[in-house]
Amino acid sequence: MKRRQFVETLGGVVAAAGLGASGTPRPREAAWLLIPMDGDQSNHLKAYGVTYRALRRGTRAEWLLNFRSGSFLFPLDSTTQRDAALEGVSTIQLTDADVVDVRGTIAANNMDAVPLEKAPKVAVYVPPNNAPWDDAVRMSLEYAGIEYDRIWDGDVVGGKLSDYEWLHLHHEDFTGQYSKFYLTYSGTPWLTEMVQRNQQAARTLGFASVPDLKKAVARNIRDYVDRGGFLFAMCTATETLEIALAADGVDVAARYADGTPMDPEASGKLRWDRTMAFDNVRLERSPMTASFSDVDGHQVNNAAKRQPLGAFKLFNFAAKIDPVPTMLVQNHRSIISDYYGLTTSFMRERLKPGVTVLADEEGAPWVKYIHGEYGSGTWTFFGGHDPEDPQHRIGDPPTDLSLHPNSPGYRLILNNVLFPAAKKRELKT
Amino acid sequence: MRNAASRLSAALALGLLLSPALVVAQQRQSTELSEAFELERRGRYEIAARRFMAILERSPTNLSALLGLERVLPPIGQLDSILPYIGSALVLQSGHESVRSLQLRVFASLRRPDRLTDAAREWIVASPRSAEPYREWASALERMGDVAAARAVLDVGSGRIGGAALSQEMAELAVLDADWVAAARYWRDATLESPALLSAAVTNLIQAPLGSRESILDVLADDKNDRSSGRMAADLLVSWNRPEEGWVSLDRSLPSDAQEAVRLLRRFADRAGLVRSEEGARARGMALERLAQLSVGSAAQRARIDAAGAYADAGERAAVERMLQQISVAAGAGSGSKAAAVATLIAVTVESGRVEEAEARLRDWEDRLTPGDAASLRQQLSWAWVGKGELDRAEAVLGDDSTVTVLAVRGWIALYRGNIRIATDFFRGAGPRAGSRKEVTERTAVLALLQGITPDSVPLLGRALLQLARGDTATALQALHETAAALPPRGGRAGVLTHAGRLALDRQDYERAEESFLGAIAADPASASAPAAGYHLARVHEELGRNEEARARLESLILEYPESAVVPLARRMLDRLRGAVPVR
Repeated sequence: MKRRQFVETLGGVVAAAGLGASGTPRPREAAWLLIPMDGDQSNHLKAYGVTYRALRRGTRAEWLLNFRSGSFLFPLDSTTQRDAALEGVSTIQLTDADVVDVRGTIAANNMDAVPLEKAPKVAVYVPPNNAPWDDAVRMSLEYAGIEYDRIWDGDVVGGKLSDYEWLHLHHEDFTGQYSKFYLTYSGTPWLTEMVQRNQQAARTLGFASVPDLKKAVARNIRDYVDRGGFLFAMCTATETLEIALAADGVDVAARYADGTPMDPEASGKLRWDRTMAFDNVRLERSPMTASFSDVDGHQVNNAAKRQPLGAFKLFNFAAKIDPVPTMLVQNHRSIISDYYGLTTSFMRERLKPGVTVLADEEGAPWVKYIHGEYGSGTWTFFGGHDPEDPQHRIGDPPTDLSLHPNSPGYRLILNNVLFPAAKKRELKT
Repeated sequence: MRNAASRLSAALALGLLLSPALVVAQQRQSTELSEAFELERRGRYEIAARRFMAILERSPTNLSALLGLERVLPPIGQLDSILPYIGSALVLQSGHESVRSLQLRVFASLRRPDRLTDAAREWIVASPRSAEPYREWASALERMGDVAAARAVLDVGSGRIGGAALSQEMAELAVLDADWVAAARYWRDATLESPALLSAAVTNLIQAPLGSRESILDVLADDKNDRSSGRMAADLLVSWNRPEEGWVSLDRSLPSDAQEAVRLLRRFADRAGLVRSEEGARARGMALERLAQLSVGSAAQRARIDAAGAYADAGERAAVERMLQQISVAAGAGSGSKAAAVATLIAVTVESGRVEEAEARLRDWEDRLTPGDAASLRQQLSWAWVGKGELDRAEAVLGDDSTVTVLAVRGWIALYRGNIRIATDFFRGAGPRAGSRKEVTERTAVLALLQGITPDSVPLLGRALLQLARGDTATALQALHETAAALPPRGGRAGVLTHAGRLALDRQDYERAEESFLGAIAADPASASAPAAGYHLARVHEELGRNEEARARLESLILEYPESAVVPLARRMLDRLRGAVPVR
């Protein structure tokens, strides 16, 4: 039976049995709860939170890759049902026989069922006192109700990363140049606070300058991945983390950041054998241009090079052979409108061989979403700042995810949160 | 004479022979350029570069081809190939500023500071009185990241050229250093010499942090005779949300040339209009009033009407009436603008509570007003009479108008008389499109309330809602509770109590609100009012800081009434209480 036929049949069975959305009477034989993740789901983002909390309670769960756009399956229990009902997450109750049919469909198609065994312990690298509303990952974690710890430079340098399975970086500038906003936003309270906070951290931790501190943080993060950690980074954190790793011993920061100008030959001295994703990158030398290098295809703050936004397309992987990239691209949409960030995209020609491209813009020289392994761990980079705020200008109001409960861009972020929960033996890639 | 005629004939003949060839050559070059641009657009940089080079072999000073090469060579890593072509162009035209500028940009891109310096110095020697070499040299250095060197070049250039030729660039560098006082001085000098730079100066200085703004204004106020600084200060003050101070500054610096003054006043009024505050509207009104004084005929009338509108936005009733008075008496005013002015005057009179006077003026002018204006004013007057509790006069002023908007007003009047069925019929007749979105929403809400009420007439409810319309919420609340007590539990009591609860919540009478919502839920737990009352009860709990109670109430609402229309609101509130979404 083809998947579409099966789904239609399943829908028919459900309707005949008087089932459907949460809150409907439970049939006597129902033993399973399916959270569909296709167009029938009323709140995709909260579905991840329901799944995460079920795992935290010790409930078994399965991620049905490519089955109804990456659905979740649980043994029926009242707590998960109640949680889904409160969150407005659509669910369907299934009998054992229904689940046998589901497994048959999965076996016969490009689908797979990945057991989710443990809710990962999540850390987000973020300066203290920052509100969550400028970081897409924190917004999605808060909205979905997924617990996380905030860590910053002192924690990273102090070795606290080993306490976590999943680490997220967002807008941080690991070159220590305050996102290169120092000159254009001089005097604004938020920038003044950012500079003071970073300089204080550098002094406290015994580093000569903020760029030196950030390089040490970058090395610790790379070592964390090397030891088996899962790293997910967005926006500038992707590009600047790599530059900081390549720039060990090279001055890549403007005078305002460390008191000395950038080494004029810095680009030629960078060591790309120390990085995870990029290669042969050329740095942007002007301290006035809020751009770091030629990694980003869109160059939002470089008027001469800025490219318009298009749309990116998720790749379709073989679920049974490549479960990891398949998990990362589970979505109810395959083409998603692009959105800017200080780093919006990654030029294809700057990627290292072996990097897995998860999404790109057809016909464009850049890609949007990439993944790779480093040592015993993995990293995933996602370009752009906020999937539901395409232009994202400083001072824009924060994104309210309750207005975007089906956001396909935010789904990609949450795929990454659950991905470390997958049983290790299934991670073949 | 004959020789001259022969030479002319020969020249014309030669011209006729040569012209087609020249035209063909130019057409060919134009076609080649178009092809090269197309290749560039398609990303075929190598072939595009070869086309541009071929054009330059034949026409070394073709600037389009040189600039094309500047664009297509970097992506293929061959920018240095452009240098011989630049050299050839300069041999033919050593003073060609665009080519000289291109040369500096190329050396900057190639990171060859020594060659950059040599080329800039050559250009200075070739054009010793021009500011351009210094400007472009500094710009190239800035692109290379050497801001200090750029500043030094501009310093030297300023010393040699004199005047304010490089002040704009100096100002921009000063802003990068956050030296706002210096930037203001440079911009002051630049705009004094070239007033067209005013917008650029304002755009640049506008970003000054709060702490530096007074110093900037001090610099601009230094020279009382410098009117361009005053205009710059006016623009900056408006942008910094200080429009009235901006008006004072502009007023002092208006030029004697009336045409230029009118242009500046219009510009200022537009900018002040963007400041969404009463102060902004007041400043706009003052600028427009001055503009009217400097204008004649219909332009002056338009300015007065605009000024009246701005003053009305600012709540300056006396100023509005002053403007409208001037419009009314203006000699030679068109009847259309006069009627519009009178309509505004009547509206302002109604707003100020002089309903009798406004109604009399409307009677005098009604046949000269547009039908739309007259109908709108009648409705405004009707509401004003409702506000005074005069329902008969409110109804009378509507006349025999049977438009849907007036049906809605008639519905409210019937409701205030307690006629539930008649009011319902009028509201249904008015439909969903009469009036503004807010009015439609209010009507829909009250229709929902009326549908749950079983008696046809409830004068007590009418009086309560009339009190509410007249702004006496406390009395209205008491009357609503009395109304609820008189209604059957399932005959509208729950709806009226929910309505009362919402009013109490709006006026922060949380105790009364809680009592009302609990009463509504108890009266008819199965009605549509129960989940709504539950939602608003959670709001009361939140206001009182009892967030756990609020969360429990919302969770119970979501689980017990999953199909209720308030469930999405409840989920959203639950998200906010958990800190899962930003608080707006």
